[in-house]
Amino acid sequence: MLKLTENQSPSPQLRTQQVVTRVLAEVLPPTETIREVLQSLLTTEGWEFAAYWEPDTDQEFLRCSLTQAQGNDWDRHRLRLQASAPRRGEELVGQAWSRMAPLGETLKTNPATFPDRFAAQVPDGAWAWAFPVAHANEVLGIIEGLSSAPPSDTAGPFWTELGQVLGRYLSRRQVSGDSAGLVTELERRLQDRSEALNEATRELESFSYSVSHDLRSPLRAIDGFSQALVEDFAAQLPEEARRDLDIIRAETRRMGQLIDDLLTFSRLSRAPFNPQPVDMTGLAQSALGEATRAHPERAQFVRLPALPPAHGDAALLRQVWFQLLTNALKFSGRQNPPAILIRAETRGPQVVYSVRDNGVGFDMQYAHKLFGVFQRLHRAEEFPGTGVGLAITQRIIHRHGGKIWAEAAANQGATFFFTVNPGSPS
Amino acid sequence: MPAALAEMVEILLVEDNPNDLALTTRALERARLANHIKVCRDGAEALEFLFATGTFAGRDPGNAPKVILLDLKLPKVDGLEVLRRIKADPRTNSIPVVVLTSSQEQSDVVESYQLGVNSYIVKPVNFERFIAAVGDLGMYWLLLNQPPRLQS
Repeated sequence: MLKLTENQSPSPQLRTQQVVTRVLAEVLPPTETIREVLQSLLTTEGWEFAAYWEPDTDQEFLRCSLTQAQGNDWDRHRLRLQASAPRRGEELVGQAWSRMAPLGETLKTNPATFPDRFAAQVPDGAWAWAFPVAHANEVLGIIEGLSSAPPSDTAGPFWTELGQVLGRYLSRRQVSGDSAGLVTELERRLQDRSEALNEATRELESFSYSVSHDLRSPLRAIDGFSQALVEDFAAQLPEEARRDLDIIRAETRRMGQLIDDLLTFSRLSRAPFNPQPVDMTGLAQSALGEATRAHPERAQFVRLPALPPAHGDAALLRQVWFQLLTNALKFSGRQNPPAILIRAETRGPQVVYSVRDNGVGFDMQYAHKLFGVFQRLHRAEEFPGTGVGLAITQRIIHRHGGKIWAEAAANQGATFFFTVNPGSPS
Repeated sequence: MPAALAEMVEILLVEDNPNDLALTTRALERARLANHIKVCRDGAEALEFLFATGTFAGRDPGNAPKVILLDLKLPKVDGLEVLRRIKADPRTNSIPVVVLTSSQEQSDVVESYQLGVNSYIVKPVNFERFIAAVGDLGMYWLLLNQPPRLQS
């Protein structure tokens, strides 16, 4: 046996280095990378034959997983290689494994251990090589080759270096290969989930379609025929009967309003969501204009300073301002004078926007009901409404990843706070 | 000819719901537009009427209504399909079609317009507003709108 420190021209090694570098840069599947490396050893080092051996899972013996050869003369050897399983220390490859070092020998230097698989094929004086592909003291494989050229004096360090470069590369690929598998699995699960979600959304759409179409039409009949009754039989109807019919019609319209609000609420989750930088001052002003359209003089009770911008969907955030301002105007309508204050406060990375009024407020023990659909904290005769507005508002804020909450006391006004974007983890 | 006058149809009302039908007719009567209404109770009947086939085989298809009031949710052939067939046929594609429906669904609105609907009206629950809407659209399509002359 011979440690490889003989003298030779470095140029084949340089070529090998260049080719291997190029192969590694291509990021092929590991098997392809090794095949390419073996192939480049045939061309740059002039090897006749190259094989890659891998330890079995119990690290007991080696199995030949890949071979490359010049010409077809090696086919028979390939089969013999694939049938053999040298243990640690057996044959050249087994010794390179147990020593974790490159080895080379010729028939002449050591006929006893020269792999007899090659004996029939090779001329006297041919060299057999084996070097480990290793990373962090773990042997991933052994590269074996046969060359008729004599070794160079830098062959030992060169094979060591090449084995380490390949080992490092392959172990890294293994890790990223594992995580690639994990990512594929996660993607598959995510796809399953989103298909289930799409299915649920489709069901919801057909549901709200039915609500939109089928629930409204009987209401129209109730309202219409009540009106027809009043028109056609006005003379026969006592005053009390007319009052009752008025109630029927008012309730019918209220139910129509409830259905419309519920639809608006359910459509929110399907509405397109286009987050972008949003001028919150402009948005609040425009919402205020709409909220006071019926009573423009009431806008004077609202103080709206300049607000920091937010990042979100402008159309949806405008609905938030509209709802909060409408509520503030409604519940402070009986104060003399009403006072509504819009503010924005920076708390750490967050901007907290708020709308405060001096209206009737509410008892904080009912605060958990505020954002529920059809939940109302005031009697309908006191303050009209369907109880959907704040549910819509909360859904919009949640869709942005923000939070909404309220502080209030009965007869001492209410303040609604919201953030638009997710807060810091702290 | 008095016979031809009797056959004249100004409004084709396609509506399956008897209550909506009664209310729409009532609204048209209020607007004094109820003289020449033909009612079809499903999409198939409407198509047979318009194209003078089936039970309407003897009818002159050139005697087209001035406007078609079309519900979307109809038995047999639904409203969107009726609309598609009307707008795809040169004999009927210039008849104004007004979709008169309970559906506020954007998908219905968008598809109706893509198929070439002339108006899309959501029936209000409130009967006064319903009467006003039907009166307005009858007034517009029958009296104000100038249709092209149809060749028979």
